Amino acid sequence: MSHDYSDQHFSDEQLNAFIDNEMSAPEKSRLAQAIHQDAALRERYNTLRNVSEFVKQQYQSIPVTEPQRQPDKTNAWLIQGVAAGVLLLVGTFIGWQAHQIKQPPLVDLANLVAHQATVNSDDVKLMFQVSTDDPYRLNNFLDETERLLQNGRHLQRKLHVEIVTRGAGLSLVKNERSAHSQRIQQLQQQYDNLIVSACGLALERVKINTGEPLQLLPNTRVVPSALHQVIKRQQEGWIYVNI
Amino acid sequence: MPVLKIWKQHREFTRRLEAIRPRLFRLAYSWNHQRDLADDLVQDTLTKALKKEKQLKDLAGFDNWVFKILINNWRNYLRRNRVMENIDDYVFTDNTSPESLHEKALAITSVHEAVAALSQGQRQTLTLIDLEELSYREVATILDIPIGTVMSRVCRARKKLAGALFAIKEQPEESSRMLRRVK
Repeated sequence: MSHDYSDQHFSDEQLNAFIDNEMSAPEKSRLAQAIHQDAALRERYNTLRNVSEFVKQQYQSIPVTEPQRQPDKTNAWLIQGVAAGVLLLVGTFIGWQAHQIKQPPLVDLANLVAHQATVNSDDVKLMFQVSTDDPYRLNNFLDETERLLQNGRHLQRKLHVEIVTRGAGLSLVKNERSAHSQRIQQLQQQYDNLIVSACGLALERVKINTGEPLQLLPNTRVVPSALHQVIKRQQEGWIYVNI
Repeated sequence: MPVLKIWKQHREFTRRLEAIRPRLFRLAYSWNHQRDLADDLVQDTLTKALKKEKQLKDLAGFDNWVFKILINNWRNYLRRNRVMENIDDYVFTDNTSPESLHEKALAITSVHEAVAALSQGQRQTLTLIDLEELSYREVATILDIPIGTVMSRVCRARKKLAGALFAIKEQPEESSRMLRRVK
């Protein structure tokens, strides 16, 4: 069931809290729907969102002078071996405990999709920008995306999902044997309506900082910049959610 | 065992201190836009953090603890040097560099100038949120201000930046409704 939120007044403080992930999932979904319905509200939101993105991107490109590091001459292989064993046990325990914790949803995606499907009988288009490598957030996000894609297929909706990664979020598309990378690959193999892309500017920065290009997962598109992609998609009517 | 534990904690502490340096530099640079001054502030912060290591009870709060030291250093610097120039009249060295002719550099300069024109409080609050992606609650703790002040500073700062970057007039909100709940 969807609601019409277009006549509600949302303050700039609320829009900023939305941008900064400071709202609970129901509040976030309500405001996301209102942004989709109300062109004036959408413009205010886009302006504030773009300001935030500009600040992030411009200061990230400031080169930092790294101090000369002294080589570590400590012969600590024995301690490191013992510590690795302990860490493995602790990590297993923490992993198991974390598995038990039910994470609150980042945003009520099912509600959003149901709403957009009623407002716009054609396609449902969702864009996610991932700029975090926090494993809990990524797990939560991948769980919700998978549910979303499953539901879309089950209900035979014309669903389009794009995930654009930047900054720390590039870990999601890094070609390595991490659980997150493997899940993304599986999702891409299962759903051809899922596009995964990486920010070209962020990739350039990685190359400058590490001296070598980041190896991306196959089928990962490179867009000139995450910011431009977000703006472009919003202009095309996509719902945008920052993770 | 305690000796081994203390040694491991210290090792982790110094590792984190090295790792956080670039982030401290970006923050410090965003507050004063001078590379040498930002470097000095970061160096001073790292030295103080090493001296005060015992005061940090839990490494989980490491980042915010170091940010707080950086903030205090910056405040002390302003107090000592009594920086009273009108920030609007302040000319950055970047403006006169040949690179500023380049489109990207121009964009960076304009964002930097717009950020520099914010008040100290707004600038610190905004950069902690946008560059470090801290929560409002964390920023309130670091800056020692109420969470409502964080929200209003972010709001005013982004409005001013929007005005400067996109030539949008700042307008007071009609019947502005305060956010009732923050996560």
